[in-house]
Amino acid sequence: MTDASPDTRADAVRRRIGPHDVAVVVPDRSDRAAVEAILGGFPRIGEGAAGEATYALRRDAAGGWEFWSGGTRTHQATTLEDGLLALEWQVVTDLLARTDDRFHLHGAALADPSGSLSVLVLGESGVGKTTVALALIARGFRPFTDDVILLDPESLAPSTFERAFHVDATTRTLVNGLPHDPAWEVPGVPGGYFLPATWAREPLPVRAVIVPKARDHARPLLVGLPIAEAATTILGFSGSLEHAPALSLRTAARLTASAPCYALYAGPLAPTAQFLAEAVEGLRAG
Amino acid sequence: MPDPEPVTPPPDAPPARDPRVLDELLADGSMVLYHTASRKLMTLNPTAALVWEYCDGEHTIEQITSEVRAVFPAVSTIADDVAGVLNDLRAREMLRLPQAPS
Repeated sequence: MTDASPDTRADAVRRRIGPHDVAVVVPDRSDRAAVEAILGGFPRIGEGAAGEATYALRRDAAGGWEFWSGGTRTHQATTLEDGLLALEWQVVTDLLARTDDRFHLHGAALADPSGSLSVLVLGESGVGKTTVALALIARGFRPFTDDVILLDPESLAPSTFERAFHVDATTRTLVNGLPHDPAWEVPGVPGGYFLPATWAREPLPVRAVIVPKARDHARPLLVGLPIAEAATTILGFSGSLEHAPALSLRTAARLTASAPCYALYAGPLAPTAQFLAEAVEGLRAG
Repeated sequence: MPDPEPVTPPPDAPPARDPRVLDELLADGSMVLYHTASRKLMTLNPTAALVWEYCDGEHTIEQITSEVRAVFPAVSTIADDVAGVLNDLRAREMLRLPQAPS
């Protein structure tokens, strides 16, 4: 058994993550600062909150780290970075397992600068969705989430999920070349993470779905997908299709009826971001 | 609990949807199918979606063809089109499979 007892310990990081209260016991002070930093976007909660899920990240005798979920040690890591990844993975996995009333998609969700609509950027890791999301943030968009989209099946509005972005050196270099790069330096946030200064919180229905396909086009291009192809594309990025198929199918059908879905053939990042911002502005105006 | 095995009808039985398949009509009349056991997705154009609707285990292939022909009277290839849709649905295991001859 772990000695995690978050109701009484002062060394627990407590946050409201999605609809759930979470406590992470981190005895080491510097490790705790890192956990505080990467969970820093989520709202703080007080001690002993009802329905708290309990985790622990502790140093072990061999000089590594071990991660506990409830009373079970689920991961061992040789570096703090790997321990933090284990923490994020477990917290998100547990959240999704307890969230059966939302349509889950892998991707980013952003509010447009006017705060009147939201757009989704769907894609597997490495296809450039985080780069596109960061480029849009640099142009005044505000993020709901970078990785875990939870859509309300009725309103089609994404929930805010304040998880720190994972940003590799390539993406950071690309975004740093933009005319309006986002503020990177957030005290205490470990390298490889980006914590946005502000998050979108108002319920804004999705008005466009963008699926990056390639990054080497001479100039950016959006190609509208037929509704059936849009539906299967969206469902292909769903994490809820297997455990909530009826809700997922119904929500994907509603989404494709109200939000056009585009394949994005991206060019250089700055003109691509400007092109997308103008396209979204056109949706708002239209 | 494991998924129940589908009941296999005789070879000449009217086509019937696999009960493990969920369908959802889309805004343009097309349809998306999801097989909850194989976890496969399939899309149907509006004509194929109409065929799917008649795969209720009661309409024969001839009756389905007649119903679809009534909707699209100008199309001369309805019988082939319906047969093609049914073949695709069987190949993707969206229909209950007929029993193999012994």
